[in-house]
Amino acid sequence: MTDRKVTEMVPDAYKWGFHDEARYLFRTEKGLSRKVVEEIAGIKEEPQWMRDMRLRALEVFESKPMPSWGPDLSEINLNDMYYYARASERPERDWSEVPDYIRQTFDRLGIPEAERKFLAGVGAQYDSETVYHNIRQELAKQGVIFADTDTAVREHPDLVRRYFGTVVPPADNKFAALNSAVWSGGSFVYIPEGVKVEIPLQAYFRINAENIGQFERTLIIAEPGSFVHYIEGCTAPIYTTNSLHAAVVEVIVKKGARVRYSTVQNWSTNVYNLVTKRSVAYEDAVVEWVDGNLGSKVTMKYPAVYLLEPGAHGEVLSLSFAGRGQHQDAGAKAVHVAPHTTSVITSKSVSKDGGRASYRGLVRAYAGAKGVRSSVRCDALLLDEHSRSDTYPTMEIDERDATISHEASVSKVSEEQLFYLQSRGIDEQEATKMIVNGFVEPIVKELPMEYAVELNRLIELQLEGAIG
Amino acid sequence: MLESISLRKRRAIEELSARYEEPIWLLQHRLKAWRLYEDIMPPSGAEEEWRRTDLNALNLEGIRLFPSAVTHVPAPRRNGRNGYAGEIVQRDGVTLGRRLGTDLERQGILFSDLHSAAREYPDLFRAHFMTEAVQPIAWKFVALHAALWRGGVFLYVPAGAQTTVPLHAAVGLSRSGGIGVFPHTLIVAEEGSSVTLIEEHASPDDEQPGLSSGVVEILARDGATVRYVGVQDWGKNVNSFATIRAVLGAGSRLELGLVGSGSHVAKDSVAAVLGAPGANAKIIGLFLAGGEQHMDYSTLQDHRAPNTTSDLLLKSVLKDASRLVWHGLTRIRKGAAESDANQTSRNLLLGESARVAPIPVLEIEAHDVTRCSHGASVSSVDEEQLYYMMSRGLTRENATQAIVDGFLRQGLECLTSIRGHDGIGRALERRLLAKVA
Repeated sequence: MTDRKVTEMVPDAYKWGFHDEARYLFRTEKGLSRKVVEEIAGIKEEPQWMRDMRLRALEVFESKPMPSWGPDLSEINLNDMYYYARASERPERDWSEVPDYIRQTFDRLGIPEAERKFLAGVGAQYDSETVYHNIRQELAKQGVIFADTDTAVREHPDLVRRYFGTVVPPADNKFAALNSAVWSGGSFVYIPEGVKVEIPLQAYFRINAENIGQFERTLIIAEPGSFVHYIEGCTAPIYTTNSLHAAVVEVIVKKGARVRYSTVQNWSTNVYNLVTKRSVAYEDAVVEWVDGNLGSKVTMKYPAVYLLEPGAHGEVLSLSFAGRGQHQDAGAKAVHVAPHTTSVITSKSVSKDGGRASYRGLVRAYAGAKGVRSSVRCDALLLDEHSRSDTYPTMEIDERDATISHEASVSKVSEEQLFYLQSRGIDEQEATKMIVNGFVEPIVKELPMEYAVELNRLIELQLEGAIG
Repeated sequence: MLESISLRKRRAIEELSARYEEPIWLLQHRLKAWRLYEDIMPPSGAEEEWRRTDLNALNLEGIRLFPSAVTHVPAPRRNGRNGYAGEIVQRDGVTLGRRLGTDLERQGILFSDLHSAAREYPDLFRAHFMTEAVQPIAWKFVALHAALWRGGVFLYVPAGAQTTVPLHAAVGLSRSGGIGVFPHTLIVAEEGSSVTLIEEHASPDDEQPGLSSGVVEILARDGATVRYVGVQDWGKNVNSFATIRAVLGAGSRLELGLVGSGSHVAKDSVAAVLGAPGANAKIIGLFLAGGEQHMDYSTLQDHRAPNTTSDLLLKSVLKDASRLVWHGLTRIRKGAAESDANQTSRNLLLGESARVAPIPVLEIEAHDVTRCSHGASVSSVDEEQLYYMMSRGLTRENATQAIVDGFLRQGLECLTSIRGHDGIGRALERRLLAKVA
């Protein structure tokens, strides 16, 4: 009942605000402690090395202060939160095996349908645990692994141990440490040498319970010459209290391989979304992050590319939309360690109804990284006078032979544009939509068609609340 | 509150204040500032504005903050042909000479050192000195400055007074070495007035260690135009800190030119506060560094009122193992509708180990911005261009020089327009270009 009221208060129709009466098989006690971490490791029957890493990470988490920069995180109550909740026995390979009420949730989110239509593999995570995971037979035969990370720890221990935590070590930052201590679920993707997965793999992350943290851990390894496009989507119910999503994503892209990682994040506006995403690119490898941030209360996310060998190329397309009560602190990092590496960062943000969209980025060229080229372009659109836009780019260039550029602009929907469109018989709301769609189009068009359509629809929904 | 200051420091400050026959409020001002200086925590190095700058630059060891009583220094030779409308020459905080054209005097323009201003125009001085633009609390070294300033330049332009010919202040260090100087420039341009000041800071050589902690306060009232060029050319063993802040009235215009080529570590904070409708600020910075020089500039374009415009252009040429850090913040506050702001940073890395960290930041709280943009670029001398020019018979050095000249041209032209005086401009230009040769 209360939830319904909250839903009504939410300005923009958030279609995914419903929740199930969850029937948890197990849930750790509230709050974070050594006991909770050991319990999680115990449930998962993990090898000793992983258990040790969790405990070390817990110590790091406890020793690190909250970030003193960026969005306000003071409302996160880390003691009043469940760090692990499991609703199903195991990840299923057939939707009919997934408990009914969970399957209904994913049905409403359209996942099984999407899988039939255009995906090569799907993973679905419900709170802490993966409930469904499947991959097309022919890919499995080629040696492609697409599993939830817990399963991967059991079934591919050597691969996981070799790469886990190498791109984002537990001590990297406070929330990466938290994730390393209590991680559960997430995707493990392994693409063997030369294999090109032409249709996307998708994971869908759903928070259902109140006061829960979701800490999935995703690890993608692309062997030389391979290709994969991985897509993730995220939603959560609307509650009066805050939830936390603190994921870690590590992507390893070897010589000549290419990985595209697309995110459409549409968490409900009570979720703190504090995510560390980082990739390493070796010789002639290509990494592309397409990062759409529409939901959440606060997002702090700066997908990074470390360009470790010559010829590596990194690209980040970041789109964020900050509505009422939202702070999207999104951005990108390109770290040029090796010579003759290139990066392109494009960021577009729209703020309305008092929302705040920030771009925070880093371009770094190490001494000796000759012939580096990097260009950054940030555009922001403000839709009303209550909203805010910030740009915090940092460039650290320690190499003379580098070409670095950064350009940013902030504008509003101009009266002239509106007037022009209105004079053509288009009403103001429609005209604003057209302008916003035109503004975000360069990023939206990089998504697969189904996602682009969905994203445009989401943006329209967001806009409808505001203008009229 | 002041009891806790050590007796020795208190005595020294009292002596300094008495030497200049300061009123009691000014002595109190100094003592309070010293207390603040002692109370304000030094930066830890973790702060964003200190992360990239060596804290050793703040070390005051071996720096004489309280030089002994004024020693006689011969006045510099008067050069009547330099074309300035007025001049002040200071060394180690002591005024050696002063001149002001009679037509300026007739318009009521005041141009003197700050001690004379405090004695001769006590009300004007007290109303504007460290009240509006810069206050002692800004940070530790501004508090130190407020306690120990000496010399200084006071430029007061009454309503409607106009000068086209620039005034000049030459502020230097002597050969005695190890001296701390605290140059303070206070410019008040009343309504509808217009003035240009060129200020140069220089050492006799690159050997003497020293410290400079300066403040520039600019108050441009409604409709006033202030053009200020600050040239920082301290010796390579001097650490220098400067806080430059301009407060702009309605329809006023600031043209600020900053040239940085000296110091071991130079850390400057520059702000234009566009506090009333129609204010306009143009900031040009040219930074030329070599050796192990480290330059750290923070700029703020603070749009607080509607229809304000600001434009910042920074150009740097970095040789050897020099390093430039730039934090550039443009803030468009709520209510600053129809504002237009731009930041551009162009950096040319010539040295194998030169480093640059441009950090342009936009914080936009107003919806109705006309335009807000920034751009930063880092590049080196293009080998293809060099090759082309060398194939035309230029040596590598000459070709490089030509490219650097071309790179700086736009900035130099802007500077010339600020100075508004060609004869002076060329001499300065030649010196600057000689620096990057």
